Amino acid sequence: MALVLSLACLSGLSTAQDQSIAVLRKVDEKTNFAENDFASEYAITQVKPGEGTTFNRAIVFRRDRRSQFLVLLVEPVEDKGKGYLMIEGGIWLYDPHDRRFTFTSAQDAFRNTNARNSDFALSNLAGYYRVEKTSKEKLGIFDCDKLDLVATSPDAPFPRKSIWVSQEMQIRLSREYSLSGQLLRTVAFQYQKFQGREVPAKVIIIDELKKKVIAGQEQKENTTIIVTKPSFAILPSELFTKDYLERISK
Amino acid sequence: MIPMRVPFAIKSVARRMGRYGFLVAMTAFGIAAVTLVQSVTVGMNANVIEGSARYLGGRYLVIARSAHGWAENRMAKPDELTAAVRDAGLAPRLVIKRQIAGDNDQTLFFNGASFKVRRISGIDASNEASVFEKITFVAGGTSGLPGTAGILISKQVADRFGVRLGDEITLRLVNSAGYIDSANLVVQGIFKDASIFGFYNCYVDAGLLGRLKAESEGAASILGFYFSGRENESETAAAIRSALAVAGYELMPGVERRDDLDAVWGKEWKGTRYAVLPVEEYIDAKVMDLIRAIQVISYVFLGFILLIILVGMRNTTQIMTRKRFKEIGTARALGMTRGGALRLILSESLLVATIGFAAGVVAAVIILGMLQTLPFSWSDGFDIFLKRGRITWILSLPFLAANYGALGLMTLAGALPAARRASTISPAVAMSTIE
Repeated sequence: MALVLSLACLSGLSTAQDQSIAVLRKVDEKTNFAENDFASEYAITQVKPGEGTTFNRAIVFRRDRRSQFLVLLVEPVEDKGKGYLMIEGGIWLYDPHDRRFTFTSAQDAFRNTNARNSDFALSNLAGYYRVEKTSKEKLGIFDCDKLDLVATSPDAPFPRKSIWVSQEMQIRLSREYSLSGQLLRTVAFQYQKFQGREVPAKVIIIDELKKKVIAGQEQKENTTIIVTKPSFAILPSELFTKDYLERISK
Repeated sequence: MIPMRVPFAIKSVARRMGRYGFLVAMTAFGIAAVTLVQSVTVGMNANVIEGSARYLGGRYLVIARSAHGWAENRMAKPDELTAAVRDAGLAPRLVIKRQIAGDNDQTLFFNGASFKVRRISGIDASNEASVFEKITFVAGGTSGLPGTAGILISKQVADRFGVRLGDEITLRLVNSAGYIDSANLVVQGIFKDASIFGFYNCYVDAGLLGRLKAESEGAASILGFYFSGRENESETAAAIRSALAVAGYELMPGVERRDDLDAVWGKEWKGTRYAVLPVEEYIDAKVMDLIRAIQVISYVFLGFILLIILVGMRNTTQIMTRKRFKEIGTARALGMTRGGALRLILSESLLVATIGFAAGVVAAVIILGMLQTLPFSWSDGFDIFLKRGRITWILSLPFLAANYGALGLMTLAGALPAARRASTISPAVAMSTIE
């Protein structure tokens, strides 16, 4: 709450709702790369209890100032060349085998993992949510503000979510709920310092609906994303085009 | 006069049954085969209609689309539509209001697995008890469903998940406003229906699904009617359309079949428009096409059999008439007219065909009775045509009458040359002939 109040004082905003939006905007600013392009390698490991592990490696290119991203799969070999391209507000999946683009939604699962396409897009908490409740909680070594959010737009990936925001205005934990309040996903974030700012290092996504009891113990399906080789180098604009995806897949 | 010849014809046929035997057997075989196929297809047709009515929510369906042809089916006040139908003098024996989740990314989760179901139907199980008593439950039933967070699933879905009665599964869907919603549901019944109507379909309480979909109180996705079952379906659908039009509801013009509904897909309008279709016009046309194709094959087969009967009757009656040259001549000498001789041969032939026809129908009924005892549940693809996993059949009087009519005409055509020949026999020549 101290964080909210201090922000409110700083911005001169009066109402509690305005203060909350200011916090969400700050979180969005910290999460997105508005000034630079961003590229990195994502190693995505999915664990299905009792069924084993699947692995995907992808190169992610982001141009958040234009709400664009390209996720290009490089592993497994059979999926090499497949890509998710977000342009003009829509996400397209390109499959080089049939050379076809398929429209997909931000809410859809990414490669049948517990990640969603929206996890790769820029954060728009201020646009999609209002803060219903705030409280202070200690999360491991982090002093956090817990914000309970309610969606104000159906474009929001989840109708309700709670986020734990550390003093650095970074989301450390997110719990995502259905409209009825059922927990659907838990997402934990770790960050790494790169060229003076923090970028994601590890994201652990736990699917709260896909759980199995194995040997008397409840195990949940989960996906871990390890982010390596970050870069803020300027990316060519043609990267965010359908032509590019088609060309590199040949 | 044929009636006066009938006793004579019966005696004559009975005396020569050995010679007519092949013709009777051939007729019986053909009629048995055709009756068998037709009775089964009539039964299949009835099962498809019953299954699809249960799946879709009524024998006659009222569909409402707002602003454009691809809108989700949704009617705010279905009770007012029902009142309009009753006001027009129509008396449905059952009115069904259902909530449907079909394009809501409806997914079930259980024990680490997820399964996207094709359709979740929100039902009032108390109201629809007569509809659901016709499906087989391997566990539980509809009794625990009304007003509870329960779900009825197919055996296939239960087997796939390893779900048992009383287990809790999670339903997640995207509601009408575009938000994800979910509910934990207890399995109240597992039903046996491997057809497309059952496999991908689940049933929950209508109130629960309405709340999950964020629909207004009393709204429905679909409104369905059942009448006596003996009514003419296209006339009844037209009467419901007319009742709605009189009450001021705007109808989708020219929508009388599913194809017509597809034709309004790209159109836009103001307000809500309604369409009324008998269920067989609403389901996937391929299912009904398959039944019609089987019926057409049965007609081709009937035609083939009739052709054989025509040739057989022609040859047999000619041989018989030649052999009975003296007998017919004597009858002529005793006062039988030329027309009488002609009618004698024709009525004998018709009697042979009738015996064959009756034997064929009896044989078909016996075979159908045996077929009905065989379980066909091993064949999931065929389940759509079955009732409780077994073939059902209906002996259709119109089909029987048509078959008998066709057989009679063909028999008369086959026997006519011989009958004509018999009518021209000279009594004097016949009586002086030594056979």
